[in-house]
Parts: sequence; C-alpha cells; structure tokens
Amino acid sequence: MLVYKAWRESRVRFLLVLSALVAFSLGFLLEARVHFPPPQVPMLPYAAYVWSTFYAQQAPAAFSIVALVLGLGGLQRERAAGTAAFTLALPVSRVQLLIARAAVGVLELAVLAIVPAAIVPALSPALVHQSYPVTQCLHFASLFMSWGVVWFGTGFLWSILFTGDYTAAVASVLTPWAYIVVYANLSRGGRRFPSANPFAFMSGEIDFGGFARGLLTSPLPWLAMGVLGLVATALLVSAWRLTERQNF
Amino acid sequence: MLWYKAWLESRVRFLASGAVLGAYCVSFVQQARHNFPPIMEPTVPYSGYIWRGVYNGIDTLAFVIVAVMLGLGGLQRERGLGSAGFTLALPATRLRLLMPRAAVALLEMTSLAAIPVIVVPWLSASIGREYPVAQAVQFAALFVVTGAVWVSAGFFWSSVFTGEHTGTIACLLTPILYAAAVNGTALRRFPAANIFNVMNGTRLPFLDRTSFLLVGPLPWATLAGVGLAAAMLFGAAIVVTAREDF
Repeated sequence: MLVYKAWRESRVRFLLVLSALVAFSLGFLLEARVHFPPPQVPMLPYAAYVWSTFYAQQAPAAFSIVALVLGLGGLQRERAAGTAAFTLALPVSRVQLLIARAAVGVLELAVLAIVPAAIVPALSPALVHQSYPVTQCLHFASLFMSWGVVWFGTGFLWSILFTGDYTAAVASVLTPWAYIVVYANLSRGGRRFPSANPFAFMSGEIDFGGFARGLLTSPLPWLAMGVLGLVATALLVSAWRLTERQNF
Repeated sequence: MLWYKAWLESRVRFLASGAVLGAYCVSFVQQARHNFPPIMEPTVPYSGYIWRGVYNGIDTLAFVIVAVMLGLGGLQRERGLGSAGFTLALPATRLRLLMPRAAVALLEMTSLAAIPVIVVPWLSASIGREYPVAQAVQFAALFVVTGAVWVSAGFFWSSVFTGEHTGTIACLLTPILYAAAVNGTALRRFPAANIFNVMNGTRLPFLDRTSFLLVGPLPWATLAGVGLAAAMLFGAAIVVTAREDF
C-alpha cells in the first residue's frame, strides 16, 4: 500500500517525463530516417549521431534535473497540504514511508534511463536502416543511473529539509549548477577528478577510447559507480535520520 | 500590497537562483586564469571563451530553467494549500492578482539576466582581460526578451496544473522538449525559430563566429515575435484563471 501511495504521488511526474522521452526517441528516429547522415558530416557514424542526441550535450543535465524532481515529495509536502498527520497516523514507521518512496523513485528513474535502450536499438534497423548495440545503451543507462541516484538522493534530502512548496524544487534544480561551481574550482577547471564531473561522466566523455565514434570502449568505471552508490545511500540515510527527528 | 505578496512568494526562488548564477559566472571567469586559452583551441579569443561558457554553456540552460520556475505560483498553488479562498476574497479582480505576479517574475528574471553584465566585464578586467560592457548589455537584452517567454510558459503551466510538482515538471520539460523539437525536426532549417539561438546568436547572422561578438543591429523583428509569444502565453494564463472554479 505504501508503494502504491508513493506511485500515486509521483506518477504524473513520471508519466509526463516518460511520454516526453518516448516521443523524443521516436521523433529522433523518424528524423534520422530522412536526415541521417547529415550532409555537413556525411561520414558521421550512426553511434556518434545517437550519442550526440541521447547521451551528450544537454541530455545529462536534463536527466539530472528529472532525477532531482522525482526525489521531491514526502512528509514536508504533505505537511503543507495538511495531510501529514493522516500519513503519520498509519501503522507504519517513518522509515517504511521513506523506503517505499525511495524505491518507487529509483525504479521510475531506472525506467527512464532504459527507455532509449528499449527504443533505439529495436527500431533503428527498421526506421533508419542502421544498427545500434543494446549493450551501449545499457552501459550509458548505467552511467546515467550512477549519477542519477545521487541527484535523486539530493532531491529527496532537499524535500525533507525545505517546507516551502517551490523552495525544494528550486534548490533541487539549482543543485547541479552549484555543484559544478564547486567542482570546477576544486578540480582546477575539470583537470582533476574527472569522474566527479557528473555531465562528463554520464555522457561517457571520460572514456576517450572510442569517443570519436560515440562508443564506450573501456570497461565501466565500477569503482566510481560504487562510490556514487555510496554517496546516494548516505544521502538517503541522512534523509531518514532527519525525518525521524522532525516534528510534524 | 499585491506586489509585496508576489515578492514574498517568489523571493526564495529568485535569491537562490541569483546566488547560483552569480557564483557560476564568477567561477567561470576566474577559471580563465588557468583555462584560457583552451589547450585544444589555443586560437579562440577571450570573447569566444566567455560566449561559450556564459552565453552558450550550461549557464544558459540554468537561466532558462530558473526563468520558467519564476513563473510558477499563483491561485492554483494556493488552492493546494487551502488559501485560495482568502486571496480571492481580497477586493481585487483576478486580473489584478495576476498582473503583479507576472511583473515581479519578469523583473526578477531581468535582474538575473543582468548578472553577467556586472560580473563578466568587471571580473575580466580584474584578471587582466577585457570584455566590452556593450556586448554584455546586448546579450542581457537578448536574455531578457527570450526569458520573458520562459517566464510566461511557467506562468501558464501554473495556471493549468493544480499538482505542485506537476506544474514544476511541466515547466522543466517545456524548454527541454522545445529544444528537442527545434533541433530534431524540420524546424532545424529555421535557426531564427529557435529561441535558444536568438538568446546568444548561434547560427544567426548577428553573431560573428570568429570573435563571438554581436555585430550589427539586434534582430528586432524576431525579438518582437518572441515578445508577442510571451504576451500570448500571459494572456492565455489570464483567460484560464478568469474561468477557473476555485
């Protein structure tokens, strides 16, 4: 029931993003059918064309923002809406409420990360007469999810710290930019700690092996992904500890 | 009093956005000490470095998203909180409730667009580089006019959606989907139809691709069209709110 409650709270957000992503993916394929390869770059590999649309440029930033917004909600929002007391009166602990919300959010995020993997390799041969490896999509989905869960945890934490309705949303949306400012200064403009650059990490730019072809050629950075998973867990645990102590 | 109410509702958003955008601009210009000229492109001029980072970088996306979110709020949000009845009972028409909110949001967006005007030339001089104030002012003008469309989009969505986070996600998706539509469809052949291009001159003749400085007059006809689109969205929000049953 708690999972269903969490789903009801977030489904409009999730379905809006999912619809947009599916429409975008199909639109991309239909466009590629006519305009691939682009006349100005006739030798462009299809993988690089897919990469530049789905995994590079603004795509990591857009996914980060979606992850942050999916993390929003919960008891502070219910307090503003006047329903927190009803939820707290349910015969469940606060941690159970949080776990259900976090699980649903992470699952929704995973679905969004996998959508291109489900659409692009399956429909490319039929629509564009090109092939794109499923494994590439899954690797990119893993990279996106690695930072995605960190952003989700951040949005989750903000939604517990801030009571104002749009305050948490704005804090969430601004977090990646604030992070980039801090990162750029600590890394001397991105020269150090490349895995800590979320957008370069998500788009695979840290793997220079097959970068020109838009393909990931190196093994996935498991250590960095593990560290990011730990960071996300720490954020969610912080959210839990704060919620335990909050007075509604 | 309605202006003050609109300011109180949006000030946290505005101040947080100003702090982050300002910090980003300061950080980017200061990095020129280490990162300019870029190793990969040693011939790029300083104005090109600024253009790529401040006027065509992730800062642009941040500005657009913040502008959209400044448009959020209003009676639908108050309905969710249960205070719409009090606001509607004030001796003011719905139009008079909406106008100050729209004006405050536009003023806030204008202030955010003006941040690079202050930061970039001044900070550039402090690190021994030069960036013309006139260029920064012209880019700010482009950001203000195009930013009005994003504010009006947020204003419109917040009039349509009741769910607090539904309006937010609709707002965030708007620029992303718009960018996808103008870059991934036949509209790509009309660069002036892309508001992101109008913001910074990408693929448009008023930006010199060598110096990355604005040359010639601003595209007044395009800007008028953009302003008209913003006015239409504000008008649609007003019509929707006038007919809404709270």
